[in-house]
Amino acid sequence: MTAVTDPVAAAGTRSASRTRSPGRLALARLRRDRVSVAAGVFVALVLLASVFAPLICRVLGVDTERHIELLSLTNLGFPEGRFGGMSWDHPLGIEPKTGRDLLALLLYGSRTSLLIAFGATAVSVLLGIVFGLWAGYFGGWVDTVISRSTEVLMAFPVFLFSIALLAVLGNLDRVWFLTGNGLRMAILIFVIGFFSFPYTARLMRSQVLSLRTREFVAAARVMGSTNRRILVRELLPNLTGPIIVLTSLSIPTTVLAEAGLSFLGVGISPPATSWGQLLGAASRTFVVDPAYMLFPGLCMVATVLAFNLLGDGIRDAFDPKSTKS
Amino acid sequence: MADEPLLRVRDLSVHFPTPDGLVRSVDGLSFDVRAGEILGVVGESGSGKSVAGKAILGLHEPGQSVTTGEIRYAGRQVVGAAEEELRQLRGSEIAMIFQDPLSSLHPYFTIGDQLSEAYRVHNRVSRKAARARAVEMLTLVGIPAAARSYGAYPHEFSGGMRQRAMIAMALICDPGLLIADEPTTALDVTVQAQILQLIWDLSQEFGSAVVLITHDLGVVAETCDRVVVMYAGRCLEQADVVDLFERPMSPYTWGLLGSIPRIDETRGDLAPIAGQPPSLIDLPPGCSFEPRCGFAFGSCTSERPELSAAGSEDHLARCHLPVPDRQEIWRTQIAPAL
Amino acid sequence: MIRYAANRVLGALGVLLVASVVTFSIFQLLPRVTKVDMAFYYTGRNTSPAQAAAVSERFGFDKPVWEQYWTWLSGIVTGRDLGDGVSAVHCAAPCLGYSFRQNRSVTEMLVQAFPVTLSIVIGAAVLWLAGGVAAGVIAAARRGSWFDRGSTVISLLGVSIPEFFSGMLLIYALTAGPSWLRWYSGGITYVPFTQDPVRWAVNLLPVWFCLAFLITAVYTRWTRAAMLETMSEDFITTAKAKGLRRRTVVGKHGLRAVIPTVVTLAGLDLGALLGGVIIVEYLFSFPGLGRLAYDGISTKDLPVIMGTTLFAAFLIVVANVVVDACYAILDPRVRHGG
Repeated sequence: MTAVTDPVAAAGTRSASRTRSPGRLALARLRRDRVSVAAGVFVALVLLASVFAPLICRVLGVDTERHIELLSLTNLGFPEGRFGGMSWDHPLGIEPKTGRDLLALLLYGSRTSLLIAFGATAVSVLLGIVFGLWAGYFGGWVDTVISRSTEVLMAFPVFLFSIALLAVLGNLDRVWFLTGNGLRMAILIFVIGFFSFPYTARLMRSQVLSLRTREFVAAARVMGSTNRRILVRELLPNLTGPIIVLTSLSIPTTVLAEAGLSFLGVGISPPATSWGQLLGAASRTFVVDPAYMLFPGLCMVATVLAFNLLGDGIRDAFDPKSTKS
Repeated sequence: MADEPLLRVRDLSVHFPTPDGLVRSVDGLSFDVRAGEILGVVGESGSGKSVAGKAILGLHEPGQSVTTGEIRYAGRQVVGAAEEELRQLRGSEIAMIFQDPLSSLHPYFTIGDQLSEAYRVHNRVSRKAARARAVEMLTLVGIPAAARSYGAYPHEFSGGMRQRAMIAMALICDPGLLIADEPTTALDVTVQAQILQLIWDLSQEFGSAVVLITHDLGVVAETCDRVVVMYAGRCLEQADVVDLFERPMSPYTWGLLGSIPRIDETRGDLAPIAGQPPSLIDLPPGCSFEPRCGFAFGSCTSERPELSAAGSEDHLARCHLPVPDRQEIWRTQIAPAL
Repeated sequence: MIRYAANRVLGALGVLLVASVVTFSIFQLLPRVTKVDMAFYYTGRNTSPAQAAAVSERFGFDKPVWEQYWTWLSGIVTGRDLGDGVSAVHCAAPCLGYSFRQNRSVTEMLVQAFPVTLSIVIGAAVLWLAGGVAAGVIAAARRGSWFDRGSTVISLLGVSIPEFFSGMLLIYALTAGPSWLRWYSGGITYVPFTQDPVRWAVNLLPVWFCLAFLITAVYTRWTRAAMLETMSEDFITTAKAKGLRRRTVVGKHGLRAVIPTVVTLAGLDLGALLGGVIIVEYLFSFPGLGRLAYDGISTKDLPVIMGTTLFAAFLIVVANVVVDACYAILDPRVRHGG
């Protein structure tokens, strides 16, 4: 059969699209999204502020010392002056009953809240990857066991349970080398992370399931790769997109989870602070001193909102088909 | 045959603006469909045939696409028509069936309900009357136990039955034109033949014209009266079906014919057309097939050929090669090797 | 279909069983961790070692763990006598424990608290279902419009503002805020429906809004996303090709396809809903299940904690079964697949 056409080399050079890796494509798309970029900048600022909290405090001249002299003796220990004692010395006012500067408390509190949130997200995503991969790739009874377990966990009154659990564990003095506030934080990280993992495991599992049937996995197996090789070399790289999206979308949830638990008093407790702890303390006095509730609340909401916007943007960047206005 | 074609498409272009560039899915497409005629529109994936089919019904969202050119059905303009006008055309004058009947039928409504709905949109009748008509259509397309099938859900049917039901739904208002977008691609080969036969039979019986969109030349040869060959959004050749297979006048058509596997002969390797279709964002300035054409020369890279007569008045092709040269090449090089 | 239902019920029972084991074992942890005798948690008094030992024996704390578990579990079904002799307490079935601190059976406390929580949840549910789904559908139908963008912003705010913050803002505004907002200057307390239906509703409104705000946001986002995805499905194209009005395409075909997803969503986060309820009841001081649980935890009243946890698990499991049943009704494909 005579060849009807030449395999013209020229056809190859005038190729369709400049191919880039999905990661770079996503990054390019993300950069075009102004809202996400703004959110990202805000998040970066918050992170910087919490990392450099001591430095900032020193620069602004605030500290976490108790300034009892600023509290009103007649008004049940509430701050003198308007808006919870706002002044040049104390830009956001002071805490009732202890007189500590609110700005300093917020800065140090952000550290705690964000540290716990990132830790819990890491735990949740890691567990999700491990169990999701395991269940999705191997299938069979492993999958059944893991899926059933996540089902049970999701049917559980998780919040109620964590409150009870944390109340119980709050009495522990030391585990290993951790004590006091450090222990408290570690416990929170593990509890929140653990109870979030069914959700992440399910997501990972469905991702793995859809990838597992793709040709490149079959090809790898035909070539004689061991299961572990396939998992690490083939599947995992293709999962980085979903993992990044999952992580960025989990952070707001964990922040609010810690805040909720601390609010109810089973999370971080004084003298340590976190956003939730401040709000919890404020819940007793906010009718009289709304500033004490407002500032930590706004700070938390702004940060969570920024994380949500950023997470949405990242998700849209990786999958432009996903619905966005 | 009427003088004025039932459907007149002139210079149809459908462009989609995307962040990566303007995708020219259909670029300057022209053809006619006469009443009662079965026109095959054949091309590879991405050739724009489905996009063109949907454009005839005005199904592209105005916000996401730009449609220019002329589409006239029985004298009425489709491009740029108001939504209400289009709505009245759809289903009653021009109907469309799609490739995958499982995803094209609503999974949560019964087949019967969907058929009745199609009828009642354009006919003010009672539910009972619509139901009767629906059952009638179901029987007509060969679905057994039509009365019971009325209450069944799409997923309860086999693929072939679903496609029959879709055809019934499309023809329930007796349209003058049926657009069938790859109706057999998702079906088994044996069922394919049945569905094609059904379409042909119904076209004869109702006198409706059919635009049969497919990538399968075999389907075209079996069923169609005329053929339009599309490539990268443009028509490269259009002719009577017999003319196309006996005297093809375009290198692309030669490539297509050469790549059909034959069971009745022993041959060496399969002979695909080397290369890839061009990007629809980055179309070449000259002939869109030039990169893969073994007969390309000088002006092919720089100038876009016009659609011109090639042999007979009804036979048009888009190629810079002079007609006699093409006839020579066909006679001496291509045809003997097929 | 029957097999599907039986399967789900069996699964539900299994989950409940596991939940009971987990609840029981974790709360056995408590005394070991705090190094306080179990007796303390049951009698609510600081007991001397001798008294503690006596209490332990009476209540069977010295028996092996699995025997204790079995006694507790079977007591739930059949009722149980706690202690013996003159000071024995009969706890009628279903016996979820007996709080010695408050001298009431946990079941009685649950029965009293349940209507409060039910009032809160049902009212909020009506709000978020109607509001969230409607907003999501409209936002998807008018994609890119002011409504769409506005609802996206509000949704994002909604998922970023937790109930305890919005609750405090609401309470402050309504009780101590500017005079034109101070509608509840007398405070917001729970009024039973049987006592004063109007006041019941009026006082519940802030609670409903507080709880619903977050969840409405979630529903709007999900419904909008689901609608947008659905609108790109093939059967929507078919519906348009039939000539249906845009209103019908979106409102009938689109919405119907999305409803099972929304229903599934309802079942998905019941645990989170309960969490929201706990916070809201704590903040507004409404005597519902959440408040009961919280008080039990802060006073370390073990029977109350165990009883409410198990009851909450029961509620969630039942709700999940109901949601699954609804799903089967709404999605015919599930019925026949089993």
